[in-house]
Amino acid sequence: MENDKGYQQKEITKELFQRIEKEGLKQKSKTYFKLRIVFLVLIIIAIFIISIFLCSFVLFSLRASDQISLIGLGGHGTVLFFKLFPWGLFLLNSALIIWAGLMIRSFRFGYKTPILYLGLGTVFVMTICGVIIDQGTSLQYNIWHDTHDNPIFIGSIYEKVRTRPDLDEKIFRGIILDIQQNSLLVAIEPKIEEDEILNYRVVLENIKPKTFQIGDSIYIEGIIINNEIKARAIVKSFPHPYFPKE
Amino acid sequence: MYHGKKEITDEDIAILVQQGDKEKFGLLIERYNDKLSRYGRKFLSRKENIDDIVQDIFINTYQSIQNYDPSFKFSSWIYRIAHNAFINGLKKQFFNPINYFDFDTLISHQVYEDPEERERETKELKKIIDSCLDTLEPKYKEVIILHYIEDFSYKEISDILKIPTGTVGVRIKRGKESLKKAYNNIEEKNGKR
Repeated sequence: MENDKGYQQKEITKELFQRIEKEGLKQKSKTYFKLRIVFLVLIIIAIFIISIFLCSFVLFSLRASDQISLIGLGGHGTVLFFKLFPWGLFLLNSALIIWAGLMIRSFRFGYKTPILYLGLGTVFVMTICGVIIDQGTSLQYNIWHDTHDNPIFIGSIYEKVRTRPDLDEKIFRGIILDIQQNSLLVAIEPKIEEDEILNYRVVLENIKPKTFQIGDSIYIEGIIINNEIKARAIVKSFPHPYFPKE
Repeated sequence: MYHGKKEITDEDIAILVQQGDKEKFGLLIERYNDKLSRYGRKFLSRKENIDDIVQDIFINTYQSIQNYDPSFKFSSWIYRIAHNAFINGLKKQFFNPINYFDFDTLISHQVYEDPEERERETKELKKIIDSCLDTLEPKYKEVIILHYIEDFSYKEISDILKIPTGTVGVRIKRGKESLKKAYNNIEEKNGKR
């Protein structure tokens, strides 16, 4: 019985070596495996860089026009905030983070760590790096500035940055030029640079003008009637400090 | 004083093969052929083509041997290759046998592995495993095979399946519960007859 077993094992081994010989199979070199790891690491680093860049861009685009302040206008403002949010890039970034996470799981520390912690850790690191780039450097503003007139490739994602809401949205963005007893004179930002800046008298309904100062950036929810905006709600906005007030 | 010849370890053999002693690969085949065939038969629940898959595993092992890091156990490494091969075999049998996303791997689970308990349980579960293993989902079935039949620790299974150690513990616990449930159902049916 033992002999039979031994004979069988030897036959299997022989058959396998014959196959290796016949098919000319060779061991892949150590260099091949090392290069594969280097390639994997480089891809992970590239994904991280792209993802951090996109993360800082999303933060920059939100801060550029202080879109978060729109939420202060209630339901209508919140809906507009979600409409203006750069979902495409946000989803692309999420996909990149998931891809990076899956690649990290090829490494021991990656698969030993529960997915939730790995995912949260990756998102946390990328967000922190994005915040640092957005708040600590002028990188995003410089790219926006340089690509503003020449929106090719990367510049195309910057086209919508600082774009004010459509007038049809009944939410306006502008700068206070003058304050009167129950109205404000506001310069409504143009849609594009070439457009003429329109000054509107904003009539306040149940809103105290004392809370504002000349030069404040504001979002106004209201309707235009006879070249006047009847304001239902106003919130101050605090755009990105790099942007000069128009 | 002990003068017996100490048996060469799998890791040492793998190093020799890495250094060019290709003939030594035969020793690894002899040591692992039966184990991998058993693992495949139990996991795939079939006998056909297992020998072919196992041969492919050895070919893959031979070609990738330079990627083996001798600071880790060779058995875990070759079983990782086998796991991938059997999962591919399983994919041919069923659609999406093991979900790509598994909630068990989402958070960490506290597990405690007691070797004495395993020894006791292995005897106790032997009969149940033999009769009810095929009732388990592949993800539970595989950890039960690796732990109770192939004798791997949680940590080693974690390296073979590339999942957190806590997840291995949770799957073993759930696998055991399912096995016992299936066994009780069979017993009940037999009792009613």
